[in-house]
Amino acid sequence: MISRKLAGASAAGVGAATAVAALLLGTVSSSAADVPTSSAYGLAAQGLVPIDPTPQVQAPPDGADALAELPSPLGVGLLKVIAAGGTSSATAVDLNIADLVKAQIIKATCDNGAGDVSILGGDIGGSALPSDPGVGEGLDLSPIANIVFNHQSDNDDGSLTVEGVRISVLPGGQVPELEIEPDNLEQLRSLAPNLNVPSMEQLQAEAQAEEAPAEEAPAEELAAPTLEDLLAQLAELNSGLELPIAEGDALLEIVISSATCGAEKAVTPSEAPKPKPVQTQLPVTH
Amino acid sequence: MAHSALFGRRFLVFATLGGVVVLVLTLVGVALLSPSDNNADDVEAAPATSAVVPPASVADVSVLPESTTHTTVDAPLDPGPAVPTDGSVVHPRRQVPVFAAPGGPAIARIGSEQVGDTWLPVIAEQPGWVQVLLPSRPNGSAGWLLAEDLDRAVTPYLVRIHLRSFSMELFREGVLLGTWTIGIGKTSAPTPPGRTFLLGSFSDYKQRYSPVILPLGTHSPTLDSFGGGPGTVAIHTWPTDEVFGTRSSDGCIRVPKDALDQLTEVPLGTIVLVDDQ
Repeated sequence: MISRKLAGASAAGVGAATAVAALLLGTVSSSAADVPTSSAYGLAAQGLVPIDPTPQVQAPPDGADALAELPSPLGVGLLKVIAAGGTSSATAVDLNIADLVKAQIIKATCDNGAGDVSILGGDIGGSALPSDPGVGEGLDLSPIANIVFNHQSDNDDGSLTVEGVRISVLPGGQVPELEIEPDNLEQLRSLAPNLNVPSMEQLQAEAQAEEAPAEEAPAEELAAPTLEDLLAQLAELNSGLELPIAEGDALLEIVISSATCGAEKAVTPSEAPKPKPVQTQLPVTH
Repeated sequence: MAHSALFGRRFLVFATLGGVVVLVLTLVGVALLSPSDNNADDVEAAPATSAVVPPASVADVSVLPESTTHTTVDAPLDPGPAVPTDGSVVHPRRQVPVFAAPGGPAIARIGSEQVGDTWLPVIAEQPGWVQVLLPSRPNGSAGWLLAEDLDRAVTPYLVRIHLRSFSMELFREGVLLGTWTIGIGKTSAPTPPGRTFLLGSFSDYKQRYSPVILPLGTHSPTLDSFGGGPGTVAIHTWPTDEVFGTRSSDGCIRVPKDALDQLTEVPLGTIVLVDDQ
């Protein structure tokens, strides 16, 4: 069996994470004459489940907006994106990712080089989210996940990208030792009926093959299947999942509500004027 | 409004892949609930960043005391140090509120004219706000203005007054244009040290000792009023030379005529640094 182990412990991958990030930023590389002044997309993902930025709009050529309705189980009710001139915004409505990250609204706006994110009715695992998150505010659950709100970054062309929320699953590219139980598989099957989910036996075989490919172990010493095994099996059973991930990359990175805009040209302040003496009476301490 | 093409085949793929996303995150959730996990409930504090602090609402500017050379306003003081700024100066286009701090209470108002147009030096900035020196007493008063109400410009000049050596230096873009021997306030009515600015430029037929008088944003520390005025300290010339190099005035800085001629080129709001050297 071909092993599809995910990125392991060696830290050879340098810059891979930035490659993932670059893909998710939604900027379009083109000749200088075509660089858009603003753009926005509702959702994008990279890694195990690549999803092109969607819906996505950019301006110029014209102001543009787009609306996409997405039913569960993806976890986002509605995505609305607008780009016009130097301003763009992306709004996600009724976000619910695995009951883990929830929000009525996550909106990212970019206005001539200044970015802002507002959240309405948001919570993570029961803890309420701030309605006005600071840049980069979030929840770092490394090595499991990293959730960042209002991630802002400057692009090479001088524009700014503002992200409503960026969720990195297994951000270090390292899969934690999580045992998979039959319940997890059942849950997965009910949540994703279109997914080919391996059976427990398939998983155990995968786990066993990794442990001792040449041997046959007695039944009571079967290795417990782990998350890594599950991911490997899922990739085998479902085309459209991308493995292996480049070393150092997150297993999965999802960005919801991303807005990009260029900065207004900085105005050089003019030289202060030479004073014109006025006629007045102000006794001074001569 | 265009609807993005998420229907049909692409949608089905989307839904399938979405299931995997859910899976992974469900497992993340499992991991979160497991006892070995820590920090599950902490949301990291974010550094304060680009959000512009909104102003305390000011219903009616006219009820606030006006900051002029004639008035005293309970304003915070210039936090210093008494060093040059980047030369930024601002001009309020209308009566605007002056705040003790960004987002804090309004403490005064200031208008578009003082002695001529109002131009105040910027000593600090935050997104949406500038901190300026004020013309009112006490000396060294400072306040915050909303940037959106203001015109901005830059002055390349700097004036340095050295009291002990009775000298004044004029700089433009860091280059020394001239040094002059000056007269300063007598001991009982000294010229106050500190960071101040060129407040105005005027001619007064009742004060004929100088064709033009340049009041500063500072006042005599010992005289609450003088000659019917609020004790404003100014730079001006004097008809006779013997005052230069002496303590002879009631606070004003007396400069030779050719120094005054150069100073009349200097924009209002330019920083004047007075030290004891």
